[in-house]
Amino acid sequence: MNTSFTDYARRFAESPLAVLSLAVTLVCILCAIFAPLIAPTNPYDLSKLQLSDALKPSGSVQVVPGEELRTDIHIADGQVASVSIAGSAVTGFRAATCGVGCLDLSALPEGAALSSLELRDLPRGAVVEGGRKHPVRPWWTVRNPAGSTVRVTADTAFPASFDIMAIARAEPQETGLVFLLGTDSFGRDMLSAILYGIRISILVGLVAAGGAMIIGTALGLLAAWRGGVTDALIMRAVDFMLGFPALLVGLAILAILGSGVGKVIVAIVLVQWCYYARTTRSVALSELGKEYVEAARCLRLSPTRTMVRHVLPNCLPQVIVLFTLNIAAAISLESSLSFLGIGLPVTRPSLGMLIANGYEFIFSHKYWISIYPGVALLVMIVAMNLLGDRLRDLNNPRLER
Amino acid sequence: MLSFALKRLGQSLVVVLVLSIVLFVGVWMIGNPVDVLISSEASQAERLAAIRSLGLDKPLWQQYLIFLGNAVQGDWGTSFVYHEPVTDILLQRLPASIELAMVAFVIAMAISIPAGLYAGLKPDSLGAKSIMGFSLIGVSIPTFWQGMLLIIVFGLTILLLPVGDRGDVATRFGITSSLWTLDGWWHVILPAISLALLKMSLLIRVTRAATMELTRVDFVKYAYAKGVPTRKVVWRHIFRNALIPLITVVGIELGNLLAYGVITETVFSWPGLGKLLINSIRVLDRPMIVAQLTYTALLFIFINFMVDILYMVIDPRVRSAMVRRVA
Repeated sequence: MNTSFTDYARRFAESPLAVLSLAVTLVCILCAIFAPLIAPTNPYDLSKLQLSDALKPSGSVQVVPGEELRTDIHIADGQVASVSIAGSAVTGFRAATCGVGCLDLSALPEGAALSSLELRDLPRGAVVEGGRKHPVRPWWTVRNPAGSTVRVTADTAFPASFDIMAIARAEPQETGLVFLLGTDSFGRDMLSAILYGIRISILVGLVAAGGAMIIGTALGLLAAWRGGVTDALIMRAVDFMLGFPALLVGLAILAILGSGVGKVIVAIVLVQWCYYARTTRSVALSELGKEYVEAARCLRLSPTRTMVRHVLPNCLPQVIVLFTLNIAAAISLESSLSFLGIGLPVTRPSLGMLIANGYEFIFSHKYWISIYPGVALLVMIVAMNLLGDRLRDLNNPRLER
Repeated sequence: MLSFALKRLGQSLVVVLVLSIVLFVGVWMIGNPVDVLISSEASQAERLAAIRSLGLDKPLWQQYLIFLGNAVQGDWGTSFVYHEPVTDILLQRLPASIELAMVAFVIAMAISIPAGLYAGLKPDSLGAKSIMGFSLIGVSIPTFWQGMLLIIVFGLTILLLPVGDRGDVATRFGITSSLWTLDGWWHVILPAISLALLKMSLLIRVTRAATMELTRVDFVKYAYAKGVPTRKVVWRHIFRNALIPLITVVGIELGNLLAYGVITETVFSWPGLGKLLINSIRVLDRPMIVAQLTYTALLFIFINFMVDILYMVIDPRVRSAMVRRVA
């Protein structure tokens, strides 16, 4: 057994492409298993998402927008009379008279880095130096005020006491998190979303293809063993299913059942079981004529035992090849259904859903949202298809040397 | 031969009957037919009237017969969204889907048969290897993503082709199609290429496999040995025989083009049946969904039937085998 396995492995390794595709497949599976550990952020944590991060191209740095502080300031006799403040970037305000109709207003602490300081409801005729006025209202904004101080001037003296509103915005800060593959429209890190997307795609693919394998293989064995009416019924059902393309069957099932993870899996199982049933039946039929089955019959082993313990293991190589190819097909089908908007829910995006989310943004030249998940999906499917092809070639006695 | 065709026809009818039962169970038992065929906006009196006119108060077997009768007459009720008979809307959308599938089909055949033939005749050449690499990627690439790439490259980056919608249409011979106008052709090219790419990969593989098989058979070896010019061997002996397995695939692929049109039409905003189906599913326009799924399924049953018959007409070996099996 051991030597046959090493022999098999050596023959497998004769094709460098097959080894590469095996490696890629394993990396994908590892990504799927360890996605929560290696992903920079958790894309499902909606509370962490910020709209200011949305639609950033790849390689941009996450920037937390500066704190915004609004305060009402009461100014009496050129001094700040009352300030209500609760913030970290700005702790208070100070006003100083610089002559008649001239007032310096500074944010505290001294030299706090502000990206802008906006003053609202200034007295009539007052002008803020270096500031821009709101088109209609007496609101003035100064960008990057030097020394966090602005000078308010007027042709006439200010009233003895008046109220203004100050809005101070602190400098935006970089968090050090780099969006290697950019962000989507919700401000989700695409790299994390892709890693989690691979996880969901592989999970759905494995469960669906596995379910189809179990059901299909069982029905195939049943058909081969019972023959007659059972065989005819099962095989007519297989013919019926194979007459329609997978996508159409999936669409029809989801149209009746509605969307959701479980229903997508059910749809894929219903699409794929027939391949296993047909293959298992044909292999089992040829196996049933062999001597070891006859020996098992002579030993009066129960038919179930003969089928499961003796015939099934000999069908397995073919079934496993089919399984590898069908995982890729399942992932592909699931992504198509998700892209059409009738597959998985939006909250748990698979790769297909991520691409669908990016679809509307390609028209505004924001390609990264749909390109990177697509590349991940393509690489994964190509690797699995190559792997399946190689396994099939190894099992094919016609190609044996 | 005729008995085989008749038997095959009988089988197809059985499949249609099974299909109708599956649909009846799916819609009438799992779903509530009142919801399916009567809009939720209808008043109580309208509902009762509709239930009576649809015969939903009758026993189950009678309901099934009524369902069959209506379906045969093409009466699928009224769309919730368009407030028109479903069959009319489907007929309006049909030309757009057919023209897209046809153009895609021609592109796929025109490229993949020569490519497959070449790859089969010279399997070790660099050209053949790149053709097979292309075919592998074509099989694996998700259709919708590939369509988006085409939009990005040809529609948005080099601004060569329009993306989305059908362009100008004109009516000739009673058919409204965008193939009658130049603008329509500009619009159909990109979606058609996208749709063709997936099908090309499979057609290339089948053509190549058939060609490789044929280069080893005796009559081809004999033709070469006899001194028949290579070009003649390829056309007379290899190409014509390679067409036989192709016919099965081509028939099924023609149906697939219509099915996968769902994705292409969604990506390229092509106003055909596929896009209509997806929109209907999204807004739960149930009469539309049921009718469309049934028609598509019937189409496939018809195509499968035709392929079997055609197969037999073309290949005498299959004919004799089939006839023997029937007898």
